[in-house]
Amino acid sequence: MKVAVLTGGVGGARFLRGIVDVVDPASVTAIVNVGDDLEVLGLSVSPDLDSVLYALAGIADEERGWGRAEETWNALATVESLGGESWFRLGDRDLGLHAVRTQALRQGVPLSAVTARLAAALRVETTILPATDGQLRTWVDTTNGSFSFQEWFVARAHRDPVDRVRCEGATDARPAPGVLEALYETDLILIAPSNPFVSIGPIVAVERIRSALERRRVPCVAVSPLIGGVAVKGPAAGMLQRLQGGTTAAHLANCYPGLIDALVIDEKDADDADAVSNAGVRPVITHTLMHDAPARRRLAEAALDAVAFA
Amino acid sequence: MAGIVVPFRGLAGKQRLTGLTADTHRAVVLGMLADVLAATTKVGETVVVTNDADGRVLAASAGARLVDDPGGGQSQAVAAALGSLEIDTVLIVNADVPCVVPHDLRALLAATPLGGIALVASPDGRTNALSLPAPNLFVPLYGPHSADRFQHAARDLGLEAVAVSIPNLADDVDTREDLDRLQLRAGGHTQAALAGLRLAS
Repeated sequence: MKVAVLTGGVGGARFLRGIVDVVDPASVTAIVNVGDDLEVLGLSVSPDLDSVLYALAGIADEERGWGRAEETWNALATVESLGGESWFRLGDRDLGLHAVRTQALRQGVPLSAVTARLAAALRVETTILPATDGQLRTWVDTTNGSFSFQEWFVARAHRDPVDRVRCEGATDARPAPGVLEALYETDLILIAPSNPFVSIGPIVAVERIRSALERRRVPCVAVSPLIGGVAVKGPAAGMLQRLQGGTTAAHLANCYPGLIDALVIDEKDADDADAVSNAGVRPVITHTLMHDAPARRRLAEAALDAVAFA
Repeated sequence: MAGIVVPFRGLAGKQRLTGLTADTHRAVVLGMLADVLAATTKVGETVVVTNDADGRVLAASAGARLVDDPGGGQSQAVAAALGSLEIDTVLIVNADVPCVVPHDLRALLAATPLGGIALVASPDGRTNALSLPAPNLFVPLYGPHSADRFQHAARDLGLEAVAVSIPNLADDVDTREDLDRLQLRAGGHTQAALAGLRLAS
């Protein structure tokens, strides 16, 4: 069975680990958000691609949730002591990957090809694709001004209330090679428990990805990042409240109009099931917190079992 | 692996589903059965109890085993199928829950107390899905208020009994209103039958 997964970083990466525990990793394609990509210290950084890469390579830092395990921070400490840019925390091992990627990009290699090369070097069997090789950047308009995603998320600790999320470059962005093929040839499309606005939003803002989803001939199942109306991590709940008017599973379902057939929600949100139903989406209730490998696997199974293939 | 019994009475079981042409009525009833079987065959060995010719063809192509309906109602039909099962854990799933997905059935199995029974009630208090620890624990209680009666009967036998809230199993289709309400959530076969309905009308 082939599975295509739209995903952001941390939560999505964890979810993908569960998926590749349950189905053949080589039959899975991860289509990853690149709206958060940025340049730090002259290096091209793709935080979500890297979270997915590290998670699937088994070298992610599970406690911290981002970056690599057994990381050291000597380069960053040096940067700081020299008065350099140190707000974005790049570890030593992480930096090595960014250096390789940056060099390749400067030589004109597309991001998708660089990512494939890195995945192969890390012995990852799953196909990891950036949503686009083009320039797509997420901006958040807040009550205190407009910020690039990482500036708002990291430097400003996502405190400013968001009025709007903009995906700059999305209208011109073409899906990266392999993305549309993966969506057309898959048996199932999954949307990882990632932030619908800033993780999945930029992926489906790419016109041809959105239309491929809208015209899908296979089911699409989303997994809610909410537990009891609260995000496990990050600003999803606050953004839902402000941009959708509430933090129930139904508000989440409404973020994906016409794009999903089923929504996997947590047991704590079971009361929202009727409202999800009214949105025309089949609610599937399970335990969604991915606190360890068995829990990740169970959530993956629930998502894969959220539709009955004919 | 669980054994799963799906009783299917054909059109006779869905007399309250009015306002449809005979062809559409049949297509929808069979579509719902197809959606239910798509889920059950992923979770366990499925036995369809029916005398309906189309139902038999559909069940066979879905990979389910067939048992003749002895007549006399749902309890008798279920009892006939249970006699043919050697598996311990048994789910009995109605053929009119078109939203069901495999996870819902696994969730019902997981919620079943050790040695006890679990069920999912319909909004009107009947029983849409029943989980039994052994086929011989079945008591023929289908009908109005059966959800309560199954639980009482189990407790009388000293078994733990729980009613589980699983939306896709609770939502059954008895009437045209049910169908309208659930159409967007129903499985592909039911939706296809309904698309035919829209094209025809």
